Amino acid sequence: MNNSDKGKLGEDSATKYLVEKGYEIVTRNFRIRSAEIDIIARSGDTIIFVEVKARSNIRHGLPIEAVTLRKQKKIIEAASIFLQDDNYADCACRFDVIEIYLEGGRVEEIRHIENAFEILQEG
Amino acid sequence: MYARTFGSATLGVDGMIITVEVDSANGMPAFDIVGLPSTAVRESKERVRTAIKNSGLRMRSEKITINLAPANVKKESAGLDLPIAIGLLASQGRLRASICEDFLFVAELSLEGNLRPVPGVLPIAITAREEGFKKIIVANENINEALLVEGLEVYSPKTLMELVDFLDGEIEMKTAKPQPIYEPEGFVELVDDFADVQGQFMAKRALEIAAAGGHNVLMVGVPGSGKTMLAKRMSSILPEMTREEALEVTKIYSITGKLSGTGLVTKRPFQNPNHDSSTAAIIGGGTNPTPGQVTLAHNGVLFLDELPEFKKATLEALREPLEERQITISRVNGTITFPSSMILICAMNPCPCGWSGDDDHSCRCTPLEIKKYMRRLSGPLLDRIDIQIRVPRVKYDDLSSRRKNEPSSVIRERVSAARKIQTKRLEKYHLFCNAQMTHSLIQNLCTLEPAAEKLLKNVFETKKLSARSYDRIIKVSRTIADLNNGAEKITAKHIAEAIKLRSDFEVDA
Repeated sequence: MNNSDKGKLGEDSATKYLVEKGYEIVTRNFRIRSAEIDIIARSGDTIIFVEVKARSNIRHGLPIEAVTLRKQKKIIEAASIFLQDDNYADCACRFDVIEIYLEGGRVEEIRHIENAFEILQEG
Repeated sequence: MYARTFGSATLGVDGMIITVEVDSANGMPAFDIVGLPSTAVRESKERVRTAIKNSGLRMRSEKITINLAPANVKKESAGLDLPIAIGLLASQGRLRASICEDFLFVAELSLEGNLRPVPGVLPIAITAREEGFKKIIVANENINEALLVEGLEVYSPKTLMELVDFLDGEIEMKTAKPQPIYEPEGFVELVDDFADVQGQFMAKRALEIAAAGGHNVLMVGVPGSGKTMLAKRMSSILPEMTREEALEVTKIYSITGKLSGTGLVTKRPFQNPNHDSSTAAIIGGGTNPTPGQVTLAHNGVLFLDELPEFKKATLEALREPLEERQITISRVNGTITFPSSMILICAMNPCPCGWSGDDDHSCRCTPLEIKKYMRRLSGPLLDRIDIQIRVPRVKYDDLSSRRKNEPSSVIRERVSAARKIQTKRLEKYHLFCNAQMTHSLIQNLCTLEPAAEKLLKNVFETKKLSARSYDRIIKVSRTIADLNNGAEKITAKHIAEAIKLRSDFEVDA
């Protein structure tokens, strides 16, 4: 199983997990020129932007540690473009990270981190 | 939604009410603090967020904007944690916004959600009362300080959750009671008393006169003659502070964080900075001006041991606080005035080796060395020191004698009586001691007996005194007369003693 397969598996299981928890999936793999949001979900009036990180071992750090400041900025950029759609203008929003731990090609554990990051104040 | 709470910061020695406006709205989650927050205030967002979470309260992740008004002043207080947290909860509908506006919140938050004390609660409480606040919320350790201000209801919840329940009306809370001050058991406070000093009668007399008239003193003496010992006992003979004075001192201690749960400071301060201290440490300074030693010694004694060893710039900077009884510090961030009404006591050796003028030792210094040593003290500084005396080596007989010396309490009674006479005389000029009299006031208020006049004239001409010395002699003799049951006219005896105190040690500048 190569890395992109792992990513695909992770995103699929994260989507399943969110649906089971009662979230409505708005879109997957929302793409702008320079960035991508893995899953955009909705719960009530809140739009949730989800970044999925799958790992088969933690030798190179925890999955959430891979969501660096640079990556956060890209997600925030993409999110602000998504929010320009009039349908979502009045929504609250949130940035979540879902960690997928893989073991021998199977999903071992899913950890959902709500409010994983937010917009940083300049200066 | 929008909510507003009130917090505070300090500016100089005064409190300042800060309006904390919080807006929480839908949008990209963010947490911004605007309105010139200092680093401590900027960091408060992490403390507030964690404290709210750990108190078991929920905070929605929304676009949160916090504004601290007035926006043009740099806010320097961690005490803004609590008003920010309460404002946040109110803006998200967890608390009724109208209730929160009745209180002034002054406390830092721990990550756990406990209230922590902050410096400067006393001046903040004073300002709060002036601005019409009725209720103030402080941490437990700050209760005694806040209670010094009458007409304020002080509440002190332990945790943020307790405060939220109180604001919700779910629990009753009593107004805070004064907290007992714990002292370690078996702790005997050593009180410096003049009864401990053997011999040195002239120096003791000089310090008594200095205390009575607020005169500054320079003591010149060989090493080990007891200059430091004498100076340390100075605050024990100064009259008790009035409540007004005590509040001023407590305010300064409060701002500098030197109060630890105690209430009013009743002991006159005694500050004894090392001669290596920087000018900013003595005078006050820093990017955001903080009080220096002259301010910490307000209403008390500033003792400079080894006077010529202080940096020249530092000594010259003392001129303003000595003259104006306050010090104005100007920095890019603003100009702040601190009070600095103190008695300056200085001690020094007569020469670098220390033995010049002693009968039993020979001085190893060359005349040039002595001259250089003395030249570190400028004329204008010495000019502000009314009493300049020699402190000789103590004789063995004095040292070993079992004679009971006069205790400080007796001296203090005489000093207090003399101060009362002065206050009565000087009240209408807004002065409180003889040392503050100007030349014209001296002309008006100090009448000399003919014999005294004649003596002064004689000395003036033979010693070739300056006009300044003339004023100073009369000022000191006025104090001596006040100590002498408030004699209305200055007699020759008073003048003679004043001349002795003035010229016992002539600095050849």
